[in-house]
Amino acid sequence: MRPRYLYFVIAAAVLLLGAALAVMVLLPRTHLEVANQPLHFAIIVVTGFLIITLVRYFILLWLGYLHHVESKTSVDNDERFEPLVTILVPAYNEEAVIQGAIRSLLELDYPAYDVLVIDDGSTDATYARAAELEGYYGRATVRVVSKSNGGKASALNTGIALARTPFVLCMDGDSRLSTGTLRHAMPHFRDSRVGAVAGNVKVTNRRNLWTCLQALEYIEGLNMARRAQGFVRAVNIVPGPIGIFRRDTLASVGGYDSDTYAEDADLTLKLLTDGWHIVYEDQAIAYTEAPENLLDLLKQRYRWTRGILQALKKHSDSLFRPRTRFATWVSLQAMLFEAIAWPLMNVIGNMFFSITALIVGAPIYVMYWWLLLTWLDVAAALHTVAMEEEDLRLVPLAVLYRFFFVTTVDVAKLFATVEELLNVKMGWGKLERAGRI
Amino acid sequence: MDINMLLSTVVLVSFIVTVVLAVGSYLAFKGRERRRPDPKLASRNGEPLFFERIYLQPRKVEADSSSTVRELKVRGPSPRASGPVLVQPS
Repeated sequence: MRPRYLYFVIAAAVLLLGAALAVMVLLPRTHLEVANQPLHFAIIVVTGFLIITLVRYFILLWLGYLHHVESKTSVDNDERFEPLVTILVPAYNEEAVIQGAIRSLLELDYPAYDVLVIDDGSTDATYARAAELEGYYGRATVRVVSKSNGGKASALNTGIALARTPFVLCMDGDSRLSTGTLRHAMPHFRDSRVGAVAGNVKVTNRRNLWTCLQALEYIEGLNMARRAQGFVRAVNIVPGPIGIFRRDTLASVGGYDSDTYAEDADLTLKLLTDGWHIVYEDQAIAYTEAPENLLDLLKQRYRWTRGILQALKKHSDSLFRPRTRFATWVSLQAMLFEAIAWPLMNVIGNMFFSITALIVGAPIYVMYWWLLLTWLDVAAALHTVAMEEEDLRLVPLAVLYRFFFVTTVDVAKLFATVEELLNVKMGWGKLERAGRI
Repeated sequence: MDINMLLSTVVLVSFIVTVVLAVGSYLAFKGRERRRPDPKLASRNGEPLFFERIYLQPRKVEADSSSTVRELKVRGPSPRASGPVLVQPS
């Protein structure tokens, strides 16, 4: 890590310790001085919420930092590990982006690999555009096949069946990979217990407030958790835009299933509960387009939430009767917590506190509460953005992050959870891409 | 009203407005999804609903013409370049 970024990590650690001290010392003292019973109760609730938030941040950031140190200090083996890999690119109506995606795959820094584009019965010119690039390119070979429409899971299963290499990389047709993806990810497979490597997903279209906030969320929210899970080798979602797998392992668990709306989460749980270790590689980067407006964002999160809940329900026996290693069980519990409890606490807990403060006429406590949460978010953003050596201009957005962005997304997650519990029908609803990458 | 009280009120109102807007946005998203055509109705035998289906019919041919119908225009999705069509693996 460059010194400039190291200073930011240290600053974030100091901020976090300060936040912890503030919560532990100031809030209990404040609530002891409050005579009003409802407000007293509300402060106890919000103090509990803040303590859980602090503990969560400390655990994730600490494990994430250990992962970072471990990956930076691991001794490089002189013997190179560069097995053949097939990159599977499922594509459905991606005519705007498919050629760019294939061209970017030809620039990877890796000695030999295949690119297999699976056209999933597109109704536009996706197949024709992809087929124009079919052929041999020195280190890489591009093949394009077409099948009747069956969804992403079906397309990837077709690709897994047709792949002729011991490893496959599954990605989205509208994503791009960093050139060092395979070079950094493949050495993890030296360990025969590792069944999959989860990559690092970054938002590329940082064009407006929504996409910039999502860029921060991917770094502070999703990658922070994935990095921590990577340290205990139990990543609970190998993201759709970038996941590298042993082909035999995928075949042994039956590949992707089409019975959930989050096939990546479902497959990851199948691998974890089968005893495989899943690690995280932050230098294996997939750049993806994030939804550019609020309604598309809500649609994406709605589908993610329901898909994750469906996957958890499908593997509930491992959730409540642990039969695998302890780290996997903890990771599954964390998944359940993040899917249901965390949004519920965030919205309901904060609403309860706000309304109570409003009713009893003590909004000053809301100020303390906002300051502490914002303090925590700024510290976490500083820490994670510095660890990834990302754009530091994202850090100030942390001020808007929890109260504006997370609240909006969590409300949709809560509705999605209720609808999943009620078995409300839903459709896939493919997101429209602008083709900016 | 002192500055602390003012800022606190701003934070409080902002949060409550955000929650209200979030619920409104969710309802707007659901409304938009409801207006989409039902996927079951959206296709007939795998063809998009909004394409007008044209059946090939012979034109009236002039009596003295020895040629058959030379050209028939068909509207609808253009045929895609063919490639190997695969069956989904079981």
